[in-house]
Amino acid sequence: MSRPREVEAAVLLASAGAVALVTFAGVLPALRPAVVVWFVLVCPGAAIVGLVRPPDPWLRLSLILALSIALATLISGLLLYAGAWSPDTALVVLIGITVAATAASGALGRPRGRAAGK
Amino acid sequence: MREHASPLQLRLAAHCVAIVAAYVLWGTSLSGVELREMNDFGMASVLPVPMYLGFALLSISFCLALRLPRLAEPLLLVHVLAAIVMFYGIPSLVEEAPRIGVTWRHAGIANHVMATGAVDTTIDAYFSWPGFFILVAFITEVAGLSSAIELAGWAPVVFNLMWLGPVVAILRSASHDHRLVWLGVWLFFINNWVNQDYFSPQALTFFAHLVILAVLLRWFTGRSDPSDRTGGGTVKTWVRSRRLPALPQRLRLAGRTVAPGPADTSPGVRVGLMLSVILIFGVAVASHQLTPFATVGSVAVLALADRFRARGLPVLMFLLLGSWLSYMTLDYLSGHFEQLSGQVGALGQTVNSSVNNRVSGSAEHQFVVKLRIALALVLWGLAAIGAARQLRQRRLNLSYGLLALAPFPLMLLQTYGGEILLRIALFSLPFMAFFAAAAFYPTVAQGRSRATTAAVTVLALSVLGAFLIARYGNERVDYYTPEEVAGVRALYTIARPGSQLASAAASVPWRERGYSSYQYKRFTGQPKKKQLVESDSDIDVDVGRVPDRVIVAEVAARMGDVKRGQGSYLITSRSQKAYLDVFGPWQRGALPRMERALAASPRFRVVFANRDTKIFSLVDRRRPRR
Repeated sequence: MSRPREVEAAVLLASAGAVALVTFAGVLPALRPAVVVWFVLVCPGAAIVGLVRPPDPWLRLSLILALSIALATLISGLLLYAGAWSPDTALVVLIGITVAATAASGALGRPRGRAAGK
Repeated sequence: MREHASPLQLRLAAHCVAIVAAYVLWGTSLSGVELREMNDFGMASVLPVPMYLGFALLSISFCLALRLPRLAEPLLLVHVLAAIVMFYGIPSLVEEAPRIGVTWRHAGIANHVMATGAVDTTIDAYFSWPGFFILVAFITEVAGLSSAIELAGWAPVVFNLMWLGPVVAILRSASHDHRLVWLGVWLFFINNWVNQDYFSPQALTFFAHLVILAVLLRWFTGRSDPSDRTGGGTVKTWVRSRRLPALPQRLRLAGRTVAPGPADTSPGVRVGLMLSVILIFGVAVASHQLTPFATVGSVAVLALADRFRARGLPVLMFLLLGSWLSYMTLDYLSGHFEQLSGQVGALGQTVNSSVNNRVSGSAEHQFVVKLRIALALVLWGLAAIGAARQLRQRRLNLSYGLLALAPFPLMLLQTYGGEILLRIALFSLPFMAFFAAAAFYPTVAQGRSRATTAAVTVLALSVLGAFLIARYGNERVDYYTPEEVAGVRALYTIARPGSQLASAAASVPWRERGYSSYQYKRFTGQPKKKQLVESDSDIDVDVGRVPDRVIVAEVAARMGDVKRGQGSYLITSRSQKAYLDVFGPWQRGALPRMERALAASPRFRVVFANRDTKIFSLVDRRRPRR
C-alpha cells in the first residue's frame, strides 16, 4: 500500500474506533457531536471511494460526502421502514462498512503497488 | 546571499495580504451589525462600511488573481473559501438562533421521526419524502443532541462548501481554461441569492444533483474514442454524432479542443461510479419532491442529445422516481391530485405566482424583488453573450447549453408554491455561471487585456452588492431574537398537547417540538375562508382600519373553533410584525394595534409576554357540561 493510502486507512479506522468510543462508551462526551458528524458524513464514503479511486480530486471529495450521506440515509431509512428504528444499529452498520471497505481497499491496493514496483 | 522575491511571488504575497485584510475587516465588523435596526432592505441596511470594504477587497483581489501569469489555483480556491464564509456565514455569527421559520419546522419533523421511530404520511407531505429528516434524526440521536435544531445554525455555510466540490468539477469538465472555471465558480457563489441553502431537504438534494451531473459529465459523456482530444461537450462531437448532424455543419461549428475529454477509467471504476450515481439518486428521490425531476430532466437531455454513454440511466432514474411516487407518496398524492394536476401546463399561473405576485409588499421589498429579477436576467443575459462568443469561435459547449436550459420545462409542471422560477434559477446556475464567465474568456487566448480584467472586476463588484441585498432582503423577517425563541418555548410549556396554536403571519420559529401534537393555523397567507377577515385576497384585508371590537370578534371567531376544554392560543412576535410590514397584507402597525385590542378585551388573557413576544389565550365562555 502506498503511503497516502496507509494514512487514509489509519484515519478511517481511527475514526471508526473514535465514534464507537464516544457513542457507546461515553468517552469525551463534549467531542461526541463533532466526532459523529465527521464519521457519518465522511468515513463510509471515503472507505468506498477508496475502492473506486476516481482520479479527479474534486469529484473524489464530492463522492465521499455524497456516498456517506446516501449510505447513512439508506441504512437508517431501511431500519425505520422495517419497523426497527435504531440509530445505534445504523451506526454499527456504518462502522462495519467503513472497516470492511478500508480493509478491501488495502487488499486491492497491495498487489497493484507491488506490480508497479512500489 | 538571499535571493530576491520574483514579481510573481510578490503578487501572490499581495493577494494573501488582501485576503487576510478582507477577513479582518469583515471579522471586526461583525460586532457592529445591529439586527434590530434593519429596515425592509434587510441585512444589507445594517452591515458596517468596513464589512463592505472587506467584501470589495476580496472581490478585487480575486479578479486580479485571474490575471496571474501562472494561474495559482490554490490562491483562487482560498478566495472562494473566504467568500463562502464571509458571504454566507454572517447570520450564523451575528444571529442568536437559526434563521427562517421553515428551519424550525424541518428540525421538528426530524425530532418527530426521532421520537416515534416512524414516518406518518398522514401528517403532511414532508413525511412522504422523509430521507433528509431520517438522516437528521439519525445524526441527532447518535450525536447525543437533544434537538435537530442544534445542527441547523451553520447550514448555509456547510451546504455552500459542499456544493463547491461538484461545481468546480462540473466547470473543470468543460474547460482547460482555469480563468473560465474559477470565474464561473465565483459567479455561482455571488448569484446564489435564492436562499435554498438553509437546513432543508432541497439543499441536500441539490448537492446530490450536482454530484450526479459532475460524475456523468466527467466520465459518461462525449466520445468513446480515447484518441479523440476534442472535449466531451464540444460541437465537433456533435458533428460526428448520428443525431442532429446537419445543424452544426450548416453553422460551420467544427471546432478545436476546448475542454478535457471524458476521464479514462477502467470498466470496474465506471461500474463503481454508476452504482454510486444510482445510490445517490435513489436517496434524493426519497428526500425531495422536485429535485429528482430536475436531475432526470438534465440526464435525459444529455441522453436524447446523444451525449451520453449510459443511455439506460434516465430510464432507470425515471423508474426509481415513478416507483417512489406510486408506492410511497400515495397518502399525499391522493389528497392533492386535483390541485397538482391542475397546475400542469398552467404557464401563466406559474409566471404570475413566481414573478408578479412576488412584486408586492413595502416599497423597499418591491425593490429587493425587482433586484432579484434583474440579477437573474443579467446572469442569463451574460450567459447568452458567452454562448454567442463561444459559438463565434466554434467552441460552443452544447452539452452545457442544454443543461443550462434543461430545468426550464419544470415551469410547465408546477408553480411549486410560487417558487418554481427560484428553483429553476438555482438548478441552471452552474451552467449559466459557466457561460457568463465565457462571455469574458471565450477562449484561452482571449480576455487577457486589462480592459477585460476591469470589466470582470466591475461586474463582480456590482453583482456582489446586489447579491447582499437580494439574498438578505427578507432578513428582518427571517431573523429570530432569543426573546422570540423563548416565547415559542413558553408557548409549548403553557399549551397542553391538543391545543390550537395560531399566529398572525407565517414567520414563527415553532413546530420544533410537538410537531403533530398541536393544531396550527395562521391568519394571513391562507385560503380565503381561513383569513382573519374574509376577502377576495390578502391584499384587501386591512386590520389597521377595522374597529377594535371587530378585530376582537374576528380573532375570537377564528380561534374559537376548538372543542370544549381544548386550549386556543395566539402568539404574536417581532418577526410577524416584520413579515406584515414587508409582505403585507395588513398595513404597518396593524399587528401592534391588534395586540392592544386583544389585551384590553375580556375575551383574551395575556399568558406570556416578553420584549418580542406575546401569547394570548382565548377565554372559553362556554358553560362546562354538567
